[in-house]
Amino acid sequence: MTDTTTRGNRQVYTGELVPTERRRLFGADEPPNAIVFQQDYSQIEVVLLKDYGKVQPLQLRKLMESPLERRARAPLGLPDPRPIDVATQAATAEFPVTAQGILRELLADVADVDRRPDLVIMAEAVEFTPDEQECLAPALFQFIEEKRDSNDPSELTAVAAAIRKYVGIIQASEIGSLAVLLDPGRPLPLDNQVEVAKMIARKFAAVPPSRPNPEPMLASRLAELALAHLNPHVLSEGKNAAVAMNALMGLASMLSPEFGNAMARLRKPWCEWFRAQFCRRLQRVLTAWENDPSVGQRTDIIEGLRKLLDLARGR
Amino acid sequence: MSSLRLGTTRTAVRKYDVVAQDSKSVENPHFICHVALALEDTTVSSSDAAVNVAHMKPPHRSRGRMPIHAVGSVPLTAGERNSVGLFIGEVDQEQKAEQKRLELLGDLNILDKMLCGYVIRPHTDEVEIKSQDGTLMYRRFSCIGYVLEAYGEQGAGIILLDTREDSLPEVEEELLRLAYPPLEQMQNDPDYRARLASRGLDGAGPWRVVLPGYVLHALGRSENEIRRSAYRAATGDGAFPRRTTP
Repeated sequence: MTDTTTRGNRQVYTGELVPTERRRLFGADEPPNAIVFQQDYSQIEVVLLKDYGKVQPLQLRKLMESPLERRARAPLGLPDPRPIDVATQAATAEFPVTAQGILRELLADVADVDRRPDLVIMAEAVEFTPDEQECLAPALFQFIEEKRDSNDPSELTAVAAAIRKYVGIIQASEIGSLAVLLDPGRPLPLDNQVEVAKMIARKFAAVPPSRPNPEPMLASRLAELALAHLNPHVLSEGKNAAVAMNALMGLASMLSPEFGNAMARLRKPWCEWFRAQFCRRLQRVLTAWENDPSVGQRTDIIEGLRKLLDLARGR
Repeated sequence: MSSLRLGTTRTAVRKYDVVAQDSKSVENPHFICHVALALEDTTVSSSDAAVNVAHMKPPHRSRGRMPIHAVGSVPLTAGERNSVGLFIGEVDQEQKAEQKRLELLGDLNILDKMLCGYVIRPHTDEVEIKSQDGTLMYRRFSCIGYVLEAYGEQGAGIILLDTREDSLPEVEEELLRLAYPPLEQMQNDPDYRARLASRGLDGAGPWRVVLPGYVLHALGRSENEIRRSAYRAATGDGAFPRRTTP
């Protein structure tokens, strides 16, 4: 590498990429999902996305590729790239509505025309292949981290869409990555608290935990969030209630012992309406798990959730 | 525990009451084409008065002022009102994203655009990402679906309407067009049938769908009845009051 710059939280290396550096970046094998962007076979621009301490390689800026890179990219089925002025294209092209079109533009590093909020919103409604999802997820997370505190309503909506899509496409084992978004030292806007809590609850409802309390750090943050909103002064406001409801649903469906800490408040008279709705929702998850052949045999999980539901009902 | 058509007398509208709009049909003037949730306590003194609402209206306006012609209500407890608010707050950003997507699809056929993201049959739909694990990403509703869910299991816990398909009366295509004006404009489109099928309306109809007006009849019962049992819609309930002649 001959040059290193920082763009936002991206580290961008530009220059000759020799095999040893390539191995250092990607290990023995290139990631199967890698999209290789380079100007020729020896010149490459590599952008590394920092993912909460774990550096994930993601290669950006497609201008021209070698036959070798074409083969590496083939599984994605992306059309052949042409030398283009990415910024000009981004400013004038029709809005992409296909997975490949969205991904290509989302990964392009276009400094002066940031259409990422719109791309992210569109990405939510588009189906991506597993390979494409591998590329999309870190890009979405980077977008979330960059724009999380935006006070622009349209960017806020895009961050909310990014949170939903990100959680939808990651593996359940990666859900702990959301803990960084719930750091009490840097609170998210209320709308995005709703989305994070809601999507954690939805993820565990769809994919029951492999074991009780699989994400203690995330559970701890969710419990803080739930208790902050389980407050008679704010709970009557819809979005506060939505955060509290989904944070508790997330805690319960990941069978976290943190759920017990919220029980005292759940039993307060001012919380009765909330508890009734919580029990309805939790019963729905329990029924879905019981009816799912792949989950129904896991008595530890089913029984664990049933006990929490009984606890919430005051039995 | 009442539903009434607005006239010349002053009528109180309470937050989260169901407010309704007539179709523009001359032949069927009291056919309800849209319903929403009032977002304010107010008093209206004539039909066509506008109130602030939360709703699903193509192309996905989730908030706004809407002229109303009828109101339905049941006395909600404070907790039930909070629960409706929770539901609205929970899906708010999902609706906004849908609205933005329609704006972005500027070059899309206007008819597709009007139907994009809108659910007719069944009245509600959960869109799940197909790739792996079935995580619910966001929910789509028809206008009546939005209201029923806000009052239903995800909200106040009051099941207003029996929406099982075999409990619903059949609705002819002509009547459906009154509730979904984009269908009227699509009639001459070569892909009309395919577009209908994409919204659950396969074949030539009639179909068993939930019409917006049904909720006014559901709320037109006693409070006890409303809380005890879901209303089973009858033929003619698309209009309010019920239309008894063809």
